[in-house]
Amino acid sequence: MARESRTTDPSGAPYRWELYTAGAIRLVENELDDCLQARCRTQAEYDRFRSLVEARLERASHGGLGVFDETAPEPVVTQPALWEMRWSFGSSRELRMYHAEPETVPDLLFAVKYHWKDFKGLSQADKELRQNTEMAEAAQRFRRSSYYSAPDEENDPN
Amino acid sequence: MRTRKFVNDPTSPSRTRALSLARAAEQLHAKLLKARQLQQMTQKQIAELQGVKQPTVAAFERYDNDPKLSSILSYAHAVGATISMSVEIDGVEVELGWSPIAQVDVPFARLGRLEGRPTLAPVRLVMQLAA
Repeated sequence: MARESRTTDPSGAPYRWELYTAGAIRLVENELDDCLQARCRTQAEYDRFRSLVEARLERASHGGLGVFDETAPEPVVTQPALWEMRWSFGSSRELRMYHAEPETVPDLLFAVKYHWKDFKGLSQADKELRQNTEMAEAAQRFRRSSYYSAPDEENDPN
Repeated sequence: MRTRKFVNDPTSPSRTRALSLARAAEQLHAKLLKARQLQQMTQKQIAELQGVKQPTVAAFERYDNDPKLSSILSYAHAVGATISMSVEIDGVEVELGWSPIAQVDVPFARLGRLEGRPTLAPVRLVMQLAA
């Protein structure tokens, strides 16, 4: 049974965000910056988009992304479970972020990947392939992190 | 080597202003949803009041929605809420030099006397309370 995301559950809030790093490289922080550097047209737009990301992360850390009488969204990836957060900056610019919520750390929201959902001109099959590639990379990063603990079936050689 | 056209400076005036606006937007949306919860209203009830379908209300309530001002006002009205707004520059509120106009309805006034018979017709009296 899929677990409700902490981002929609105020009962355990506040949660804290931590960003995936690769050694000393702040990979996710740099990824967000690269995304915005590539698509923003002015410094003001960069500041606005960056702030929209930050403000929504704050709302999520208070468990404020859900609707009280609606079913919470399920993880977009399972094994390991990853959830997706979205930002729309106009119709053609949609930012996505994947995060994990390690069960062993109940107050943690662990961001593992940002990317633009920009698949214009691609076939449906190519769009799915691109999206799956992004999610697979996100899952791989989480598996490499110290927060990941493999479920029993993954440890079972049989 | 990463190329960077724009500066990531969280302390710049532009950035702090942008963050304040973004927080206000998130708060506004979250508070409107909270208002529906406090009023114990369903999406269907809101939809009926707004004259839209329930999925339209559900779409409005999604956190990643970017609603138009008219949608915000319509939803607020349906959940029985009002919204206070303040526009400030460097913490100082922008003043227009005029205040909202108060309307007082005077439902019945005698008109039609010129025709020799008293008739009742609604009259709307508009008053400006403060300059």
